[in-house]
Amino acid sequence: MIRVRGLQKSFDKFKALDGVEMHVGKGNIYGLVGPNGAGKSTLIRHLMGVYRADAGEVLINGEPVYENRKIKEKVLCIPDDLFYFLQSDTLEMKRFYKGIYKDFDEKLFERLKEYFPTIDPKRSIRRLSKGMQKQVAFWLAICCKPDVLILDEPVDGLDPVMRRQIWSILMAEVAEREMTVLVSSHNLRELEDVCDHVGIMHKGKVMIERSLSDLQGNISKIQVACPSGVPKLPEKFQVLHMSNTGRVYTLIVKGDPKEALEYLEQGKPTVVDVLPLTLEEIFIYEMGGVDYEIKDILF
Amino acid sequence: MKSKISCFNKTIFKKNLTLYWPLWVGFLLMQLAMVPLNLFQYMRGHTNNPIARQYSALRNIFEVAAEPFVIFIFCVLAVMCVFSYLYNAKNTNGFHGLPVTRLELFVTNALSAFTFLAAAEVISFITGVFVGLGCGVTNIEVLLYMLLFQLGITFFGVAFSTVIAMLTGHIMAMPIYCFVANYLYMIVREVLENVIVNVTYGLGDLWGVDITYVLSPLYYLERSVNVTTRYNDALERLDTITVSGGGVVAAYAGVGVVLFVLAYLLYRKRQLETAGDVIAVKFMKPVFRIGLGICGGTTLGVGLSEFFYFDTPRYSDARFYILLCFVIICIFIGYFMAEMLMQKNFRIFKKYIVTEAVVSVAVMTVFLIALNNDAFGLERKLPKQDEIVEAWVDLDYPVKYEGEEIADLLATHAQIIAEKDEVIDAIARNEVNCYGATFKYVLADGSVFSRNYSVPIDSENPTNSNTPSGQIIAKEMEPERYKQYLLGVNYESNMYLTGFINLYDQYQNYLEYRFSEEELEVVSKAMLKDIEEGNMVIYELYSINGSDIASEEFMSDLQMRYYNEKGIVRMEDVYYDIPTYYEDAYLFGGYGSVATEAVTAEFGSAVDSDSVYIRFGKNCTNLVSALEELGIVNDIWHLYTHEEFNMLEEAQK
Repeated sequence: MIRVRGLQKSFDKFKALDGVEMHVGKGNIYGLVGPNGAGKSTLIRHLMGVYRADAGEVLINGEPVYENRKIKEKVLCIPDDLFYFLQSDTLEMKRFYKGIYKDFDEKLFERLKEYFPTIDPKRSIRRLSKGMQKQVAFWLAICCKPDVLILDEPVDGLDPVMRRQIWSILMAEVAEREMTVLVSSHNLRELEDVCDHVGIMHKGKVMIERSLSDLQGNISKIQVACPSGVPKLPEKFQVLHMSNTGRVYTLIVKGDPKEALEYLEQGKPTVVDVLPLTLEEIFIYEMGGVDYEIKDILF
Repeated sequence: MKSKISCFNKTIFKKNLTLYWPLWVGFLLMQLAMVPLNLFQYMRGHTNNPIARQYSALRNIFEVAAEPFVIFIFCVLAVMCVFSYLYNAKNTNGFHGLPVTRLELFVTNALSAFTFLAAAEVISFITGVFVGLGCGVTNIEVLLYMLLFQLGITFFGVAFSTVIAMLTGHIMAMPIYCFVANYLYMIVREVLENVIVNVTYGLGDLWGVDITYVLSPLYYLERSVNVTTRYNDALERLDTITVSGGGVVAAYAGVGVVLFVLAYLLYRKRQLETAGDVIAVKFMKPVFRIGLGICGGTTLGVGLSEFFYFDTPRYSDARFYILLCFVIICIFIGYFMAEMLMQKNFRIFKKYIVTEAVVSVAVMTVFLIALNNDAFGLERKLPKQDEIVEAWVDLDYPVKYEGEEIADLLATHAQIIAEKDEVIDAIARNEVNCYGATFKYVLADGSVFSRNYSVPIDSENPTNSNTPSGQIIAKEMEPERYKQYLLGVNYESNMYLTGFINLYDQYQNYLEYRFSEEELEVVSKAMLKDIEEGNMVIYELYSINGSDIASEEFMSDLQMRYYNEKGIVRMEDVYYDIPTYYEDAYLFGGYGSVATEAVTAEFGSAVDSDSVYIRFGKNCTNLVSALEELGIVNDIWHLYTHEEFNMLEEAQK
């Protein structure tokens, strides 16, 4: 659905994107994660067709996005900094979107009113709270029936109930119409529940791009207590992190966890456990591998 | 179903209408007030003469409604509104993320700005036509011309503003750039002229307004657009109303098409991440730096140096070096300020900026030194005699040289140039009294060659033919020239209508004595005789009089009003190229005057004419005798010189 090849973008002399390669399949919910300044927002703006790339291509459904009205009619973005007209209320923005997006579903707009009961559609959007403004953005976006929905920090500002509400609506759209969703967020715990694919960005490149199950299946936390000392693993296993409390060692290992377990059991450990990692932990340890780790503060 | 190559978006067009309605409605109300309401008020009252009323109404409405400056302000505001999304990152991303191409956005927004302004102008025109017909206006086509002018100026104004809007990412910078760009050519010429005048000998008022001023559109439009009228010979009815400047407006409208194309090309290339930047287009950044650095810095430097000349003599080296220092400092300041504005940061002292500034300063220094040493030959330049159509010199009053006299004037001029170093030294040593003399030559190609000098005056022998000032003063003293200057070119057919003189008694009481018809005739003849004998001109020659005239010139004001059937053409007006209006001046004021029996019979009283203020003194023996013989000057009421009057005042104390 979305294909990015060799994308490069610089602002003055600063290279924001340095050869991004990304692929998002139709109907996927793709989580785009990365540290601050990785280039996520810049990449998103290329996907929206806002920025013109210095090099590379951004294709949606095999066609370039930039200056392509036909493709952009099927792509919608809810940015972190919401876009609306001053003095406009929800109904006015609805009329605007209806005029712009030919697939805008007015009946769906009326149906979704019950899901956003706290929103007064005749009240100026500017006067709504941040969370309510975000609800309005989702409400209108869903009614546009996009094939690709791009979300930048989507649930920031929403209460827990509304978060679930929004996700359930989105999941229903994905299931019903195979809508493709690309989510950029720092809330990895939430992403873990909804995404099926993840891309980790760092310094203008997508470092890792995998399905969530593969990602989680490929990195594991192993706790082992070895009487013989420091546990050792063959080179084919990448040890991202090792720490110990006494003789109990905790390893974060990249590779097949079953194989790793077999090797470690050969050393006759007292205790050996394989624990699954959360997406947040995967992110932290992967970033540690590229020198973006948590540093201890020393006073 | 949308066309694949649609370049217009109805939704965005409607959004522009509804979102910025206060601007459109405000402009509409203003247009309605300026046209139909104004027309109604003028036609209801003003004067009893229906022709005069109509003329006054139409001219006023045209001048107000088709005023380029006002239309331009609204064009700038309109473009600021419709393209406001370009100046804010959130809105820029929001708009360009919509399924619209840049062409669609550009065309829709530019069309919105023009359409809503034009609609207001059309509505006010239609309303004005109905009001005009209802009030009995017969020259209703003037309103159509006014509308066409408005539409042409609006089209150009929107196009111009749109180009500027594409060059910046900062909403407050946009109107400033629009204003500067409109007058940039004029500003650069003024700066250049200012520098040259300050650094060279004799150069001043170098260039008049010429065709190149089209590069300052607002200024050129304001000068070009006007409406005049012509009456029939008997001044009984309005024959024609002439609206001029239509060609200029049409030409600018044509340029507007090119500007729109240029604006679109800039928009297409625009990097959207420049929202908020003072300059949005990369190639304009060095232009902005150089503009603010050299232009701004030079202007500031020249201006500031004036406060530090103190007593340094004009044309001296000290003055030049003071000016040079200030220009150098201010160019650096201009450069750094430009970079600070662009980067929105005070810490901008990077190598390339300093290098650029140093190079600019070096170029400017070399240029100024070259100017000061007349490397370009500007000081030495004189027009060729066969190129000259008109030649003037203005020392005490403008004197015209014709035919063979032009060679004499060129010789005088050449002498002044040759004596430059001597004169500058004498001025520095405070050894001479100088007076300003302007030489003006109108050339066959329509251009004007002008120079201005401080010319030393020989107080002991003012008409010394060996000195340039003596040669000029000798011409000024010729009676025929002085008569033309004082009483108009057609002075022979002047008819003197009224006059008065102020007189004082020994107690400094004041009397305004009005001449009777017979007295006026005697006095005017005496005045002409004094001019003929060369008695009167001396009081006009400030160059040789200075404060000495106080002992000779009378305090009394002598004024006469006159008219001339051929029209009043003042020498000053010809010299300064001021147009004179013969036909309609009576009704609406102006330089001309009309004197026909038909007009006098209809309006009864003395017609508008011109006045002359006579300066005279003890040398004017004919005039003094006439006043005495008429008994106007007598034992009680006297003519006192300034000096005598001051002594009276002292004695009274």
